[in-house]
Amino acid sequence: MLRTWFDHGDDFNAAHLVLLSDWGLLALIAVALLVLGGLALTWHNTRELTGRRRWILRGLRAVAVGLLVLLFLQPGVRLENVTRVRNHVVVLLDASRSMGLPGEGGTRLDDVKALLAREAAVINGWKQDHQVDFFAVTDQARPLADPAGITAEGDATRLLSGLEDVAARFRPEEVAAVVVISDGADNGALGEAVPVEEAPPAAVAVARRLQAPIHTLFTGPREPPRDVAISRVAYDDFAFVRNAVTIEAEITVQGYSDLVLPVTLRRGDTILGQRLLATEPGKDRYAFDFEFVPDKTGKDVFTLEVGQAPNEEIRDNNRRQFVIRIIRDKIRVLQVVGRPSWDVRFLRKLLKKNPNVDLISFFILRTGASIDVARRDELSLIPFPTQELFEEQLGSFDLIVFQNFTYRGYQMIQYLPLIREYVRNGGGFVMIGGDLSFTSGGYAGTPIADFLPVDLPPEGGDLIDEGRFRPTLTEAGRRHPITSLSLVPEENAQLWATLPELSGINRVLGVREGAVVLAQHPGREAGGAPAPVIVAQEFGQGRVLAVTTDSTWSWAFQAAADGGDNRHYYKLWGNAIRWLIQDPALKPVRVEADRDRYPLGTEVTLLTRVVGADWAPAVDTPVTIEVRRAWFDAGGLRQTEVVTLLEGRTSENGEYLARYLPAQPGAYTVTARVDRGTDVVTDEDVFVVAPDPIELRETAARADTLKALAQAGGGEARTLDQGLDGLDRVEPAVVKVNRRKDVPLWSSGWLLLLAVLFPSAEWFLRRRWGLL
Amino acid sequence: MRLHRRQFLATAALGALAAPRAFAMGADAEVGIGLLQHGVGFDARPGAVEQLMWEVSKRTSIDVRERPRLLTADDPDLFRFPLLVWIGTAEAPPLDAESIRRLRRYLRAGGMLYIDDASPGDAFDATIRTEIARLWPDQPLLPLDADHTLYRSFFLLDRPEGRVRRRLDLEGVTFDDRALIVYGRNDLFGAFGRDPLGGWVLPVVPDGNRQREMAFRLGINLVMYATCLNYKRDQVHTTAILRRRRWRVSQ
Repeated sequence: MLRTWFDHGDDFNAAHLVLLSDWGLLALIAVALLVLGGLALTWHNTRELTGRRRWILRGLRAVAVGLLVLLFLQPGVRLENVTRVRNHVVVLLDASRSMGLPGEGGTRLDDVKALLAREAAVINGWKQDHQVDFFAVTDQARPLADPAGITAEGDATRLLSGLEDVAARFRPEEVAAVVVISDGADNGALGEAVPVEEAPPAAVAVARRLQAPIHTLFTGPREPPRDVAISRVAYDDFAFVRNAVTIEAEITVQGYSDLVLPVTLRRGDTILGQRLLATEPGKDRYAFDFEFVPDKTGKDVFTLEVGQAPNEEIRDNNRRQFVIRIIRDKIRVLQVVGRPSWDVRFLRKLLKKNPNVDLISFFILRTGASIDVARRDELSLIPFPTQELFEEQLGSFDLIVFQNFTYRGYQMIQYLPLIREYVRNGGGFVMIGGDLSFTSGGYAGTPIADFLPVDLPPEGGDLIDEGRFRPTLTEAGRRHPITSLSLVPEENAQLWATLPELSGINRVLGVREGAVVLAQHPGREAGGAPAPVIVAQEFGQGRVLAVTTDSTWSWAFQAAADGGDNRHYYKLWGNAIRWLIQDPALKPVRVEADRDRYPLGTEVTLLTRVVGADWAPAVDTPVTIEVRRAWFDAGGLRQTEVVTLLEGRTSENGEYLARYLPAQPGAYTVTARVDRGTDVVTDEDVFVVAPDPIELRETAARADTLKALAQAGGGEARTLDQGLDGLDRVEPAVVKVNRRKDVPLWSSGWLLLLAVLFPSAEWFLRRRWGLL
Repeated sequence: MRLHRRQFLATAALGALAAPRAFAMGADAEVGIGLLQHGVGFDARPGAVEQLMWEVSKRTSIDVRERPRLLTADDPDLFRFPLLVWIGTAEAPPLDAESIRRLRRYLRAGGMLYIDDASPGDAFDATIRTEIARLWPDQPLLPLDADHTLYRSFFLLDRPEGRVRRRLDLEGVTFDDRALIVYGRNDLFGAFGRDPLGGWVLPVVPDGNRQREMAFRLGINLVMYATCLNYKRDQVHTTAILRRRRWRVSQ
């Protein structure tokens, strides 16, 4: 304004008021005292007058004194031609997917583009003093060369993250103002904080960093879109097998009433639970809990789905897929013992010492033949809870150990088929020898014999060989994970040769087809081959081990006689437990995706590790990876297809690294396959590819978040209709004054005339009223 | 763990149904006792181990080897007998360094040593306290708690009995959650021996046959503890045992 009045030649670009006098501090103090004295004198000598006259004289005196002071100080206008570094007006345009939802005219983003076109003159006006920078904001801010070309494809709206990016990009003095144009559907810290805090601290903090006003413009419809959305799913990335898992879901319903929809949770194709969502008047959020008990370990894709409402505008947010890794908390081992013995004592100690084992032991301490001379309350015996162990809780065990135990005498015959099914379904089972084991325990012809890796002879005859022996490893046993006391096969065989002797084996007829003999008797035969001592077999999805002797304890105890220790005993049984429970680390091939969930458009890295039969990394081994996608078609049916086959060879570390860019969303299963000549080994992993569902979990536009942001940033909160004109901005800083001109105001004739006129008027009135 | 009537009946039926005692798997599978051949008195309780193991075999499911095996500390077969008993009736010479080293390895590997003071005075006691300190200097010899597993591994016992009642508790050295040395001063094995005619070799004082029965029960518990360790301290047993002892149980 000043520059317009005084710079008639338009030679200057800045103007401000200055004092042109050059008085010192003492002079200024003296003048101030004189002014105060003059005014005080007038105050005093007019106190007797009537009200009107008193205030007229006091006013005239005050104006006269003021004019004299102005003359004394010599005010002026300084016109300058300065050079400035233009600071930045940062315009953040929301580019998230919710901006593609209906607004007032077209989509919310269309409305924003229309605003930018309409307000082009205002923006061009800003460009005189500022540089105007456009950014697209989703979960971050990225520079936008052409605002008209912006698209609504972002998978999140995190306005504060965008502002943080701006604050990191500019120094505080470089920012004139920030203008955020959004539908306010923030799914980051701002959106979460606003319902409870008007000016969220995080927003205040970023505003402080920027040191410039943050203005907001809201775009969105007056009425929210009709939508049913899964707005929140709470789950843990991992859960423990056989422990209850709870998945919490929140579903938001907008624009519908009298709606009843199914809400379904699936693990793969299996429905884990289903609930009904029935809308209630005045309520838009509905919470659901799903609880299930996973019965097997591994990663799996879970799908939570709510049915589609009639004419629903947004359907992407009716389904959420996620991956949960089911792991063991501890290995639950049931050790059932027919009679206490040294073998029992050392195995129990081993199991109890293992921090990963949760051991349930049941020892038969007394038989039917035992003499009962004590009252029951003098004994510490408890009943053998067969029904609870072998029916109710059977599935909760990872491994069952029958150690010199016979089922006879405990009314257990009806539980034997259950144990067979337990193994078939993935359980681990080991039978350890003794005079109550194998045929001596009456197992021939029972459901237990169906899955044992050895053929049991009928009862009667010589069932036990008592002699001492040192077992020898078979070729398979030299490399098998159970009998690998050393990873080097030759060293392993050497170690086995130095182990203390064992004594006594249960006689068997031979080994079953598919069973693998790992250690055998050096001098006894069974079925035309050396009598087996340690035999492994897979049965259904489970694993079984037969140890036909009850004397492995000597490897724990007698080994110490000559200065050795029990480490080979611990290694052997540790290996056996891991193999029996199918520890993933013992798989010869393992494939792993680097993440469980990928936003659409992200490359997936698949790492396959292969070990050879000697459990050393398999070098230069061909690996085939099949990637299979599962998705739901328009009718909600699950479809699958093989989307790619990747082939390669392992490195010197036994690893094959493959990359794949999924083109479609869905649940993916990766199967790595390695042909080892003698067998084909495989492993699987799963992951989910999805547009980030977070963005569309809340589809309603929110003006409240933008108001809170503007309040925290000291700016204005507007709607698109109010436009951009007049938004406050920080002026750019001056770095150089090229020319300067002072225009004195005090030397104006009008000012001199007034300086004479007001004292004269006061003199005249005083005289007229008889005061002089 | 919840118990069912059917399970209870199944257990009760144990008294009527004999589990098969098939062919044993050989000498190493039998639970036997080694007698430490050192000092004076290791052979002073003839037949005692046999009688105890006979009682063990008759009252429990354990497959026993009745005859003890006399062992010196340097015997190659020491490590075939995880339960070693040292009976003494008088002051014993100190164990030599090699014996100490070997016994210490025996205990560390999982062996258990029961020391029975069968002496009339305190001379053996003095020897034992010195030798235990040499055998296991890192842990002290302390009285075993009244709720130690040894007192409930099969029978529920309030105190240790023997041929005499000199002391109302047992002492022990505990390591790695097990009592690897247990020391009793009541001449436990003195209560067990029978003469060839079937009579008891030594009288039990002061309570006669009841005290002898309780001594046998302690002996059986000792064998049971050596083979089962802290099995009876598993939670599944604890509630039942506390109830039987009429102690308070919090549900």
